[in-house]
Amino acid sequence: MSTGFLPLLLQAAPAAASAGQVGLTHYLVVSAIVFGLGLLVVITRRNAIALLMGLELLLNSVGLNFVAFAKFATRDAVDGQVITIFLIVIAAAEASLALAITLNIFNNLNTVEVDEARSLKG
Amino acid sequence: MNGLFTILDAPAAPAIGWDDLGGILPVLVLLATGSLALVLDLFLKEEASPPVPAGKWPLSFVSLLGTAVAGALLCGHIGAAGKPWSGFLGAVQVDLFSDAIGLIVVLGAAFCLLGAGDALRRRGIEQGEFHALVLYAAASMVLFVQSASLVMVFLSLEALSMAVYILTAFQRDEKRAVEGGLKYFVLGGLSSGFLLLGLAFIYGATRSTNLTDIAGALAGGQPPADSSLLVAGLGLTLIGLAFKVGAFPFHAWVPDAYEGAMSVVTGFMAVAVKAASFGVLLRVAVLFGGAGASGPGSPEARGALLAGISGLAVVTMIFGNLAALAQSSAKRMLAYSAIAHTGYLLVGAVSAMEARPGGEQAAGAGLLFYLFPYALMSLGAFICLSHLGEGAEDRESIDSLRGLAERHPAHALALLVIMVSFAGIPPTAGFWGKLFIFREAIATGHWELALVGILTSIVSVYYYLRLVVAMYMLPQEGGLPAPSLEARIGGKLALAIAAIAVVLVGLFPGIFFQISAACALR
Repeated sequence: MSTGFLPLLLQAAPAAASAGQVGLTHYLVVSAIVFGLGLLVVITRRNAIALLMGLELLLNSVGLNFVAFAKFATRDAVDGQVITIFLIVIAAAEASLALAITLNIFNNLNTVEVDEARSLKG
Repeated sequence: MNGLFTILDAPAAPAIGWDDLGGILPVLVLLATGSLALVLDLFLKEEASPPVPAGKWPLSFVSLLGTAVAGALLCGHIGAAGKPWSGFLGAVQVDLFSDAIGLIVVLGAAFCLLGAGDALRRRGIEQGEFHALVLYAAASMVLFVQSASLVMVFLSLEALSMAVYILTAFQRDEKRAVEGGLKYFVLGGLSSGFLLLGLAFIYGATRSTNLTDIAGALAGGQPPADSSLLVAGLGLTLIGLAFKVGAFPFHAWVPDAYEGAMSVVTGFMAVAVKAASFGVLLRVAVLFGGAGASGPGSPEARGALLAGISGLAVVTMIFGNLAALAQSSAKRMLAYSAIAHTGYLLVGAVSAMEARPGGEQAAGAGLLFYLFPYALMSLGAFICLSHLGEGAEDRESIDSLRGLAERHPAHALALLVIMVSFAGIPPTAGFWGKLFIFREAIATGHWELALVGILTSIVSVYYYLRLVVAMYMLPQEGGLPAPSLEARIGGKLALAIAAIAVVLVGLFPGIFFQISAACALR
């Protein structure tokens, strides 16, 4: 087994590609892209609903990570997949909570643009 | 070895039984009381206006009783010096350390509930949901400290965060409360994302979900399958936890959420959320980066954690204290001072990582000792602001506290004791807390952290004493009504207990330090 993350990536990618199969690296790369997009959304968008979508992307990319590690890194355990199921439930709970807070923001400010929420100095 | 779900592969393995439930009895008591408060609220009639002083007193009574029982159970376990116990197939680990942190969490919940009755009644939102959420949050926090598996860490963290998001925005017709709740939610969700990604990397690097198994394998000289992935995972986990404890530069939510929430909730957040997060931070730091524990398995992890936590400690102490200087609102000033205290606690975490298992120093005794007076001071201060409030407003600006000594001498005296203790002037509890933390840091060779800590706490004297000067030396500014406080028994009681306990801990620090040392991580 390799001892570094990058060497692991570099070894795995051509091997998997030549075998015509999807390997751990592919999953990790997709997950990293989705995580990056989620981060980008949270940083740049100012609409509360869009922020929520960004947070959901973050959670789901991590779920993808867990499933990939469960499939490729630990062959005989389902831990990662079970964690992902928990994660989906948590994401749903978080979404409902976020919508409730957004609804209250709308009731108080008549907008869901977070830049309008600036009565606190931070 | 494969952690929680080995049972699926081996049907003969022991299943979860009654013993497991017995082990987490304090958590179950908190959960049951919370649910009871929810149901009880249905049978309590809404009082006609003007609100009667007693309001829905059974709600407060039942929920306080629940925290008392949970606290007594935790105290009993500490008193009996119970052996570490692991249940739910290794997902939950109960030891004296988790008991001690749990006790501080329950203390925070009890004080919050004591002050909450009046604060909610003044705003006309005395609902059972509030009591239930405080108790659920406290239960999740105790579980958070007890968790020994990645799944439990993540689940209890999410459960406690969601309860606290709602508590922040509980006053939902108040602009600032909802805004504080939104900011807390967005940044909290972001930090959960980082923490989760960190946990995923730890899982991928070590192929296990059980923290104790992972650390045991590393200590046994078994290198992780992928050590740079492990370091990345630990770094992301540290970032997530740094958000939760409010360390600079991950502090952005702290002032806004603290200011937006009702003061009683702010006190609960400042104490309970921080204590629970520090419990997990210390456990992770010592398991993966402790001097003896991490062993030859992964020296990189130890180096990264040590550097990360020391760096956070220095910048957090400097930033928190400097930013607090500029505040004109007492509540916001206390929020920045909470950031500064996070810095001191991080120093305690660094020295805990240097302690060798079985050695003379127990890991985290200083941090545990510090948390106790810090909890009393924060709860006392925030409850006092809530207690002196009127209508939907708490007493928030420093100017509004002018001349308090003439109108409410007892309250001013209690706040004086708390501020002097916050500033770390001997012989108060806060002084001993800082002394033990900095002494540990010097003893473990981190004198530069102690130096920064001592210098910044000298700076902090200025802003704490500003409040005292306003109360005792400046004349009252006209116009502000002096609320009659006769009916507000809960807040008065909480403030008195906090001030007296701060004095007592200051007079007899030895006993409390021995208890902290006995409860420290082994």
